[in-house]
Amino acid sequence: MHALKPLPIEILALIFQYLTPRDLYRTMTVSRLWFVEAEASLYRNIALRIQFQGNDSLLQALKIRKHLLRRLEWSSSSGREVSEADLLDILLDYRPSEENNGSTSSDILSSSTPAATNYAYILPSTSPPAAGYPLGPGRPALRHLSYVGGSRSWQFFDSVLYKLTTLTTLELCFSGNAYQPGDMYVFEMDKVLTVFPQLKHLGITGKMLEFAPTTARHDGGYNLILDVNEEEADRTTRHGVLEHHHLGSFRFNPIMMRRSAAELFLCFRRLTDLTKISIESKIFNFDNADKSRPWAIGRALKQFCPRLETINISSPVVFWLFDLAIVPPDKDHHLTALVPDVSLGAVPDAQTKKRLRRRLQDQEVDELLEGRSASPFFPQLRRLILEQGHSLSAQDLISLGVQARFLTHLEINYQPTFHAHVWEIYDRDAAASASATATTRQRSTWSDVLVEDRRLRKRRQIENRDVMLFLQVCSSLRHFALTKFCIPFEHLLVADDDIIKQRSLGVVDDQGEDEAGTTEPSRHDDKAAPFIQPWACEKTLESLIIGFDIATNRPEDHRLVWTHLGRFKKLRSLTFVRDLYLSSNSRSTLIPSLAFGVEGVLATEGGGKGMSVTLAEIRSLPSWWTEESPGEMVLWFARSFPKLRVLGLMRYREEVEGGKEGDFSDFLEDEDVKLCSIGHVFFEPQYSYS
Amino acid sequence: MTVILVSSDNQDFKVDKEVAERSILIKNMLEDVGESDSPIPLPNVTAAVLTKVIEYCEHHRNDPVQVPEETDDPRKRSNDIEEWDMKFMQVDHEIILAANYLDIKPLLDVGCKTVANIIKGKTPEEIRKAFNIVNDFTPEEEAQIKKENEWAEDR
Repeated sequence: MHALKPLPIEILALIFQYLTPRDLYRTMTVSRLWFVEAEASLYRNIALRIQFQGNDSLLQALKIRKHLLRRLEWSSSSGREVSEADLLDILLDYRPSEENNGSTSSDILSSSTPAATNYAYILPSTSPPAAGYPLGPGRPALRHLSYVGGSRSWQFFDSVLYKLTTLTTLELCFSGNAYQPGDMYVFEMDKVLTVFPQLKHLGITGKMLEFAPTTARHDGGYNLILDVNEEEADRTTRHGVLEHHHLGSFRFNPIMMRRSAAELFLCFRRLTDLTKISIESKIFNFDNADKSRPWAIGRALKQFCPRLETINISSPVVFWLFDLAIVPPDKDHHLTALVPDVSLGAVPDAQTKKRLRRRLQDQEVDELLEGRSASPFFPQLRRLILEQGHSLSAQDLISLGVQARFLTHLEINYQPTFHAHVWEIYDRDAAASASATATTRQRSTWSDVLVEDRRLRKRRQIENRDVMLFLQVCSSLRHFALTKFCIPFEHLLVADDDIIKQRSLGVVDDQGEDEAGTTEPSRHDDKAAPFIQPWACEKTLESLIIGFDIATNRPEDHRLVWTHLGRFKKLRSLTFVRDLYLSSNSRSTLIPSLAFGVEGVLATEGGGKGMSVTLAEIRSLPSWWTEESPGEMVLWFARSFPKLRVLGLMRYREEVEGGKEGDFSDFLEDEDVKLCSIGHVFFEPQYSYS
Repeated sequence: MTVILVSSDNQDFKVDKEVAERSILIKNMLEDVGESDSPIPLPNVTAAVLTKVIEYCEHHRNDPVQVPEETDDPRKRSNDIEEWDMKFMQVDHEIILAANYLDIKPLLDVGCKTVANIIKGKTPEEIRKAFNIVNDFTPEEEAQIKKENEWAEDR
């Protein structure tokens, strides 16, 4: 190999960040110059995992080089921990055995035995000194600490943790099981914000966790008073008023949002620079859902954290994005007019109730599309990611589309929760206030119940039509993902205007049948050719993850969808998903075949090349169609999309289970396919994006 | 609109402003001088290197602006270099230096990843040969370093 010119030291640091510890180990002995930067890079980021056999050697090396340490990932399990002595030495540069000439009150504390045999079940005699552990001059200026585990000595843990005042990132995950009082870690938010003034990222998760009530209290005005001790008073103003904190990102367990801990939201008052929150839990049940106060949460965050722009929810939690104005009970005439009075004696059938409910929903949708009756809690929202257990409502989604001017990234990675309590919650504070000043009337009929649900703005689960409405009005999206369920073809289409009107009046139901049971005018009537309403993000969308449920084999139906996809001018990545809930035998997705109009994706309105010059990646493209050979299909995509470099194909389950896998994928060995411009053609792992 | 860039060996390069502003350094300089037509001197970049840098910026002129990653995960990947970039980056460290000086982060990242990929999996002697480096350790020093840091060999 032709030898390269020597690299300057300032560039080495940038290069070494891409190397593993093993590669850094080898670069250390290349030369004296390389040694300096390789050693610094190796010891800058350390992961301490108790299962790792080389921990003894690492701990000894780290004690000498602790001044290089900037980032520590520390995982432990109850009963097997890094010894207290090692932790005090590495993190605080404190060695009590030296201080006391080798004798301490605890064998564990003075021990330097290898971590593999040293158990840190802390005895009462190992309590930290009253003044805390002193800091040695060689202690590291630690910037990042991640801790995962449980412990039986939270006192010791805190005595070390609260000395690491240079931290900018603190991630704590308390796992394990609580067997007795004191096993749970009590997290003191106020204290953390005070002790760590440089903190930018804070994560506090896990089930072995409690949030301490805030010790702050209002002074009757705008200020919070913290009952500080003398040491902490340095960090407050002269009058003990809490300072604003510059925390930018906060990840927390949803137990923080329980009603009993509502006062914790006072701590958000200090977080005026907060731009990102992540609510995370691995426990998937809606604990205390009926006691949730999502309106209070939203209002607190809106008031105290106006810069919030990223919200990640991967936990069952009732979380609202908009404040929906409750209709006072004496001002709901426009609602009662939509629903005929049905006496309590005449129990309506399910179809009728459904139709009546739909009328009220459609009226609400009209209001939301006009931007009325919904006020955003997060006007700066740019990114919203929703995982399992989310409670995104139709009202919030439609309002996002209309009002979220900055929203560029939306991922809905699961169906909304089916937990019934979640959809019965309403703003009780506003309802009580509205009722207090209004003359109420007795509500006892079925129609009254429907009107009351609408009046109180009870959330409803999103349906496909709500997703379509959102996409038709949200013009700022750059990334959209809708996984775990597919959009049926008929929900993509624009229905005849008369049908929409008739549906809103309850004359025609969702199946297109009127009260006489006759079918709606055919969608495929030549006089009313179906088309797909444009999406507002066609000029901005760069990445799309979506599934289309096209149950027919009519080529014109598929062509319609391909033509719709062709409207996207900047799309770089396109991923198809497969409905998790459909039968595996259902051929339920878009057919990428010339016989089914795939070339429609290249037809752009008004000329221009559209995504044919931008598309670089297609994932989970169905591949089991027999109209053309898979190899021909791959080559067509290579010719049509010159920038395409990644093509992931989705197998059909029966092909795999029927043992035909080998025969089916033989085309990947064709010379033309291997040498085509795409470069990376492969079969997706089974069940990807499902 | 075009701008004129002047290399360290006094060669002029007329470049579209949109392309030139892939360099944050140049972008900031242009904002400071406003509508002026004055050439922009780049005393740390030779003509040969500047030619390559401009070629890179032209190819990537429509790429979206890189958003800094939210995570501070130190484990960075080097296996995601685009095919064109791989062919372009024929491991000339002068391009890396120029990218660092001009503050063109994507080009700097590509260069660093490319060099990192050369280093990966190699023994110290192979690395020395690849980079024309003389071993200035004594055998005893080398052994001592290996012993003290042996934990890293298995990571």
